[in-house]
Amino acid sequence: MKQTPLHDVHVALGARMVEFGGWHMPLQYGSILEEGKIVRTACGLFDLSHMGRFQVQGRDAVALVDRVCTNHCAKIPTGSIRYSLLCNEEGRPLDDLLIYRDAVGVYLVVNASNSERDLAWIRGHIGGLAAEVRDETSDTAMLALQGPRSQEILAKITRAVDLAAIRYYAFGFGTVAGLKQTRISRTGYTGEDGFELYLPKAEGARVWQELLAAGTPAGLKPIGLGARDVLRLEAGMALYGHELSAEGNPREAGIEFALALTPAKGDFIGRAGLERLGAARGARLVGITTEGPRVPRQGQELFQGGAKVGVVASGGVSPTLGTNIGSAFVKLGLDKEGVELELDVRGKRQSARVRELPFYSRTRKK
Amino acid sequence: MSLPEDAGVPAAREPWRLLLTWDGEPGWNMALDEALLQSADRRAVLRFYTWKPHALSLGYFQRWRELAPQAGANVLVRRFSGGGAIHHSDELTFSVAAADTHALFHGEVSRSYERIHGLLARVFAELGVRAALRGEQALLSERAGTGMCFHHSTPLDLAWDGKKGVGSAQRRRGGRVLHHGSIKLGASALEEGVATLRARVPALEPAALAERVRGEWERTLGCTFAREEPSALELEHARARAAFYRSDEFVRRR
Amino acid sequence: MRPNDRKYTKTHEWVKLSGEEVVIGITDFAVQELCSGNEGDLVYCDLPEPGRSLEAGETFGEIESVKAVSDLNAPVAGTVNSINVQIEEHLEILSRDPWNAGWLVKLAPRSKVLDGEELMDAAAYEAFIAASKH
Repeated sequence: MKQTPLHDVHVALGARMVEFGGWHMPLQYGSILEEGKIVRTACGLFDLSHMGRFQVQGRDAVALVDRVCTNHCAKIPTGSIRYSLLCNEEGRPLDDLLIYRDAVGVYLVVNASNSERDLAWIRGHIGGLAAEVRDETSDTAMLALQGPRSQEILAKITRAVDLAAIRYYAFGFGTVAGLKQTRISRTGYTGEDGFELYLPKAEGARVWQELLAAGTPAGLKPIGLGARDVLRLEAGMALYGHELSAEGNPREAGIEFALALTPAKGDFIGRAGLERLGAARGARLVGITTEGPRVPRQGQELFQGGAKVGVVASGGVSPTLGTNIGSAFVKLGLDKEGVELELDVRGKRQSARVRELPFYSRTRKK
Repeated sequence: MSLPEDAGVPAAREPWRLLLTWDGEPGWNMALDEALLQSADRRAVLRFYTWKPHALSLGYFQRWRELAPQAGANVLVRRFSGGGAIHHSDELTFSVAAADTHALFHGEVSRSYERIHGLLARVFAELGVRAALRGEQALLSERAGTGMCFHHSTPLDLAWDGKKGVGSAQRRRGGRVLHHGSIKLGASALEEGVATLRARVPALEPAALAERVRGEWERTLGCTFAREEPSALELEHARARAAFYRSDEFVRRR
Repeated sequence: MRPNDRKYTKTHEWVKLSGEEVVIGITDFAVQELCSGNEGDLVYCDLPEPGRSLEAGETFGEIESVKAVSDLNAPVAGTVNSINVQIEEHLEILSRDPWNAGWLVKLAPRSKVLDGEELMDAAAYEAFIAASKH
């Protein structure tokens, strides 16, 4: 199993360590529910060094990204970020990723478990383009601050950049803990305001400690991948292998904003497939809440009377709502807020109710 | 970047309304513009004004906390138009309201900026100030993160001496448009590094500049002006709504 | 030619029946006017809270580009059932697909027939736009 530059720090903090995407990662430092609440009310610090980080360079860097990605890289303003899929020829997702449009090229952040396959896939499609893809994952560390107090905490160790001027889904470069030209993006996977930082590998642990020291008075705590998963579920964000997979129909998964099926985008790998899958939609990704004690789990089926009408993609206990929540693909027509269904938990039926995603939105909270 | 020589606008039959309201109270200034936007589809109007006391106006979508460091002891209002904050001190402010089908405003919003900024550039040229659209060049007036309109620029902004000198914003509502413009005469401590006309034309006063803009407006658009006062209805609206524009409810809405 | 399955307003919103609901958005023309093809020029969008009751013609939200703030007007009366929360954080959807992915709000309409006097079909909307260009 691979280890991030922060591995020993997690172990020293007493984290429960698990295998995730080929990496030995912290699932939790304490209670997952408590960790979720900390992110919603104060701020959490995450080690995301396992995620794949690729620099795409060369005259045709943008053209290469536009050839393999579903979003329209050429249209992204410099300094902005877009969510995208990487699809096979059939339009089935190989991964989901973030595209950072630089002055010098394009930076991609992909899922740890798909990183090697993504790299081979993208390199395999360079064809005649003047572009190269450099895998920076093992040379760098990646940390995230997530929560309403993120900006205030990051500002304490940051110079030469105005964090307030970095909008959601945009990035800039500044001096973080003395490290000049550090990539700082206003992104995250929790539904909260927050930042992701890209650092030299050797500096990861030092910046982690400096952030903790600066943020502890404001309630900053290290947070594991367990809380991250349920926070992203509350925020209605897809997780590869759950809401998105090479077997599923991405046009049912509520990620249309990642698809640039416009004339301007032109052809790309999977375009025709995505158009066919759009016409073949039979279900839609929605939220579900359950009444009973059991948490919905991936693969469990949803019924209306005797008819199977849906399947669960993800489930968890919501720290914000205090109830069991899940995401599920539910047959069109029944994908409406409030529709009552039954969740089959190993032969036992438990009532479930359809909800619109997301369960939580920071811009919508009262 | 070159400026359009003329906007190619046909002569309007009806005279424009010309309003001059000097030393307006900040909330009242904004409320009167709201009244002008509401009646804009009947006759086009060009209004020139100044502020007493001086005030800081926030753009409609700005977060007031981000302007808190700049706010200080200033009177605060929020505009219903977009963009960044402006310190209305030593400046000539104008508002133009008309239907969105009017020759000045029809088509893309960016075209209307080109028309208005092109017109102003000709006025400034008469004064010996060579202003041009910023285009892709970087400006010396850029300041990261102050939230101030003049510290941030786009390719369509008007600049001279490498600095931004005119702030512009619009509101489009129900087929009508109101364009806000702010032309810097003198410097403000809150707007460090921006271009001012007085740096080149020392004795320039708001009323004299307004007269020059009016003249160029007539030449460019082929229109005439009728000097008027705001109508009784507009004045009533402005009186009733002035407090709203400086209220915490509106200023701190975001 | 713009989609025929919906009606249009003079302020460039579209409205479409979908089952028991009506879906509302803005047209490609409105988006082009605001951002001239630069998707990064759209910066903010405010949408109403679900549950809010709207009259026909009432302003239900606002959208800001780097150059202008525009009102969003309800083509028909009804109660807001849901809003497209993705729009507020991914405004580029509007410049890409204003007709489907770029929907803004869904209403429980007061009337299930789209017959307001102000509403135009696609052909009438095309003519309206052509006329406004002179």
